[in-house]
Amino acid sequence: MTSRTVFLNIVRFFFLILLQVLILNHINLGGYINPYFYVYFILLMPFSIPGWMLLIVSFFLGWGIDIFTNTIGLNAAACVLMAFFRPFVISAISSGPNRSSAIPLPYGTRD
Amino acid sequence: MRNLFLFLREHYFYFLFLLLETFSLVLLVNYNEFQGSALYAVSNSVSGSVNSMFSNITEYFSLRKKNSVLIEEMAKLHSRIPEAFYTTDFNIFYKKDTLVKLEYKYISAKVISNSTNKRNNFLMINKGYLHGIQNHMGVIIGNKIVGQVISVSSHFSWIMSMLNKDSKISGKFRKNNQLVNIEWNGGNYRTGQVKDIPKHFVIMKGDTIITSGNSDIFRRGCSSGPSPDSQSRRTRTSITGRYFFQLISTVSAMWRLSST
Repeated sequence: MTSRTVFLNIVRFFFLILLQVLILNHINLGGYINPYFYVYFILLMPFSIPGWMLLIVSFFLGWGIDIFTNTIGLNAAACVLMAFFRPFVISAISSGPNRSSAIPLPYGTRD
Repeated sequence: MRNLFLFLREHYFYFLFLLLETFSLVLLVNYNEFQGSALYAVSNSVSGSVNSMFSNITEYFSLRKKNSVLIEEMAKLHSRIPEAFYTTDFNIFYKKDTLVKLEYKYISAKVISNSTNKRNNFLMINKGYLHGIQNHMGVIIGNKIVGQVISVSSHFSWIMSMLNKDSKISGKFRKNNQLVNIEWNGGNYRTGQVKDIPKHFVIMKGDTIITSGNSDIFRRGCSSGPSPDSQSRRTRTSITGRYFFQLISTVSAMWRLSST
């Protein structure tokens, strides 16, 4: 991962949190539909991110949303769960050579 | 140990996920009331069903002890129901007898036990020393003699009735104040004996015998029953007459207060 992608992701992280909290949380479609846009960040994270970083970053993503909406642990649990399923989802929707590389490998191994 | 670490290293993704997920769930349940109470309800129902299933079996082992505890509690509660309590009153009436400067106090009581078929008959009344009854009080019913208090406990008293071979009551004829003794010889429970009437005395049907007032127990003028009839036996020194007893239910105990 280049430093550029790291920087980009950090910016994206904070931007999405602020976007969600300041704007999107006040949108009520039909009275009870609330768009959650920040979840897209989990999918947008670099492909070659190590598994532990994926989980921890998505935990903090969800926790950051939680701070603003005063529901501690709600979004964090959901984001961690989504981050857990991300490798399997990606391998399911990708073809051939990308499939196996999405599953996280044992710690320390590089492919 | 090394295999454990290798295992952890191999499957770090899952373990880290489990760690982070449980951490966020703990935060969720602890700091949000809705989720916390939902978890509380679920865990309560689970533990409740398991515990009840377990206790269904183990409670058989403590049945003996439970039985003894229950019996004891039942006895305690039985002694608290209203029917287990004894209700009396504390009425004491005073009568001033100013002619002779005496005062009497009267305590009413109910006769709860009586006998007339023995040689020595006793009554029991439902008042005791807590109600003011003392030993050697006279017991009357209305105007008529019943007997004398011979022993007193906190709530009950024994009375030696006139149908008793030890009962001697000093009486007198109303017409001319002749002193006699009133006793009972046994036999017919409806009649008693009037003893020590001097031989020269003329008894007529309709004479009334009243208590003489010479003893402290009965006041002067208590009647001893309807009049002796003319059936009397004349011995050399005394005539013995008869008088009649009556049914008794509610009596009064009387006590002469010292005239000071």
